Amino acid sequence: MSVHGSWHRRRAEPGPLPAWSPGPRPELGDIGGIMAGQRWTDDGHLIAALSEAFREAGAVPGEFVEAAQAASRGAIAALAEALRPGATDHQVLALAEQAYVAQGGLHQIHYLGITAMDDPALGCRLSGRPDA
Amino acid sequence: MTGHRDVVTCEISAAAAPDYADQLLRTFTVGGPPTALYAELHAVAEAAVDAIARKLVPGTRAA
Repeated sequence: MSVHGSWHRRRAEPGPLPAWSPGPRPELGDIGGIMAGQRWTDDGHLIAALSEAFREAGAVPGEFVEAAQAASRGAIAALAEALRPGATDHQVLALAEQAYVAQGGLHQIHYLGITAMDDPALGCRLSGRPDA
Repeated sequence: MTGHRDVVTCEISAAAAPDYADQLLRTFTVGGPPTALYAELHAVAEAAVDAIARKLVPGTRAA
């Protein structure tokens, strides 16, 4: 099986993106329970508590926290929806970004790691550390 | 490129305004359930997150 998402072997290929349509989606294993809402519920309680703490402290508008949470949740849901064999990391991230940019959200950090479960090879090399 | 039986780990931090971001990290598998190794790795990570969340009360210090 080929290895996907190995950062040190990643190669840029300039040019237009190939035409791509989602196609049928395979079974999607949801380790964190996001599709079932388990973690969302937990996260929701946590975010609500944090938002209240922020409001009380007056440090950060709680509305900002809730809006950012909604933006990231929407992006993750769109990302999960886009996952299927043949989808490139560019396509997956484009759909994730579209979910919140269209609503006025801003980009902060995107990290995406894709590798074969049976032969994982997802790593990075630090600058100046060829042995890393 | 995503393939059958891949695992996908991701962080998405979208912001409502500059520097006001929400960080979400999630793991998905494509085309099947997680292998025993990935299931164990995720269980360890989730236990760590839950342990941290339980400590998020007024008066708790980072150190």
